[in-house]
Amino acid sequence: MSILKKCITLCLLASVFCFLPSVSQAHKVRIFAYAEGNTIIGETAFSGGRAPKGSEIIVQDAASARTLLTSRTDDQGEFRFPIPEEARHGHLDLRIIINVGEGHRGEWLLEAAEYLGDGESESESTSDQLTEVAPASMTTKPISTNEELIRRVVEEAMDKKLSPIKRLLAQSQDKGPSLQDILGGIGYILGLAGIIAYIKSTKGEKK
Amino acid sequence: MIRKMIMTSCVAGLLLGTASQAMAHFGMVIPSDNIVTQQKKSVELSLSFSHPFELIGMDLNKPKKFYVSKDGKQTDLLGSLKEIKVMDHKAWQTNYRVKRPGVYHFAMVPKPYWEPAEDLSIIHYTKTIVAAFGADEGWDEPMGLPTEIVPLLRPFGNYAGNSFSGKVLMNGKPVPNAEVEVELYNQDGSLAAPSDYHVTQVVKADANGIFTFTCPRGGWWGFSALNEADYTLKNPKGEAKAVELGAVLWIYMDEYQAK
Repeated sequence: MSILKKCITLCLLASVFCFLPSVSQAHKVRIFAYAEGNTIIGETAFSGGRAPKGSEIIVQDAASARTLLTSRTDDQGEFRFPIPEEARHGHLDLRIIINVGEGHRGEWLLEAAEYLGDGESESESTSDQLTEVAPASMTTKPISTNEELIRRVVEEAMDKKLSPIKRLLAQSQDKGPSLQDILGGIGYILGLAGIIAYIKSTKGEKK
Repeated sequence: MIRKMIMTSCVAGLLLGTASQAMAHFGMVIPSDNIVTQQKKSVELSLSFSHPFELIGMDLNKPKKFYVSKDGKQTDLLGSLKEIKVMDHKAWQTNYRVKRPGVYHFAMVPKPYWEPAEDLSIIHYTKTIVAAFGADEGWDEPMGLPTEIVPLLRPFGNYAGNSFSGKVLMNGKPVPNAEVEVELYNQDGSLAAPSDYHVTQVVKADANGIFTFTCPRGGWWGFSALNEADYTLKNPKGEAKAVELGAVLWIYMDEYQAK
């Protein structure tokens, strides 16, 4: 009987330990919010990018810490709510808090000036219009024809086979003194010879 | 008279001697911060071409490209550059306001720099990585530059004494045994090197193009993997000359702060 009891306690202990790691994972949660028109949009994520789903969002007046409203994150870890009238009228800075429990909390201060859009949003929209540059990537070209595929396979194979030869060639080109080395060397010789000559000449004068 | 001549040759000789010490050029893209927070939402970036430890500058003509990339989406910033002086030489600066959380990769593609002393043209593809508002995804992605160093240590939130690891890529492929020059940006000029070897340190990559280097103190550290291009460019005289391609990455090491 006592053995059975012991077994149960052990099992219980083991299960507690199994759960512990999932609780104590050091994932920080981050939160970010901005205004778009009449809506405040926020995004949240654990470090590494995973989204907190259905987590509580608390919106406070930053000055008084009074809660104005609460919301929840969606499956992407995002949330949105209309700008509270009270906040708009009172020019309140908003403290937006995500509470994922387990002692994990993140907060973001959205200042009144930011969501009331006093010219700042205008400059933002102009920078949004900056031209997009075509990616310079060489690796992500879509393959359009069979011919291209073959060319690529052959190129890759050639690269592999030729790389030791290329390396040898590069090494053989590297050796040998450059013009600067030679000039420097001459400089050292001149300089040293000059010092010797100078010392000799001063000695000569003393005599 | 003879004495004067001898003195002059002495001085000239010594000057020539010091000039022969190889100095490492570094393309530089240095942001005011590599971590953007709620308190400071914009970064000021300065672009230059310099010897960062010795604080000797060279003129940097307006780059061919300067852009920021986030999650593979690129935004051109070339038009925002303003001419400034860095180390008494022509350099460029811009202010970038960060609007969303993310990991922002900044890249400069300079115009080829003709270096008569080395008889070649130099192109340093230079980048730095800035994290904003707690985001920490995408720092390990290559930008797709012709040559670049991809970090294996998260390139922000590090301490002096951490080891930095990176992978050297050329046309998207690892460069076996790549040689990487390492230099600390001696920003306030307070540091001196015991010898010229210490100015530019050198580490080699393994067969997979991966290298590791321990940064012994805080500040901006530049890593530059140099390889010769498989093409030539014309020098100002119109002669075809070799091209040195540099993959340069700047990372910041912080000191611990007191409570």
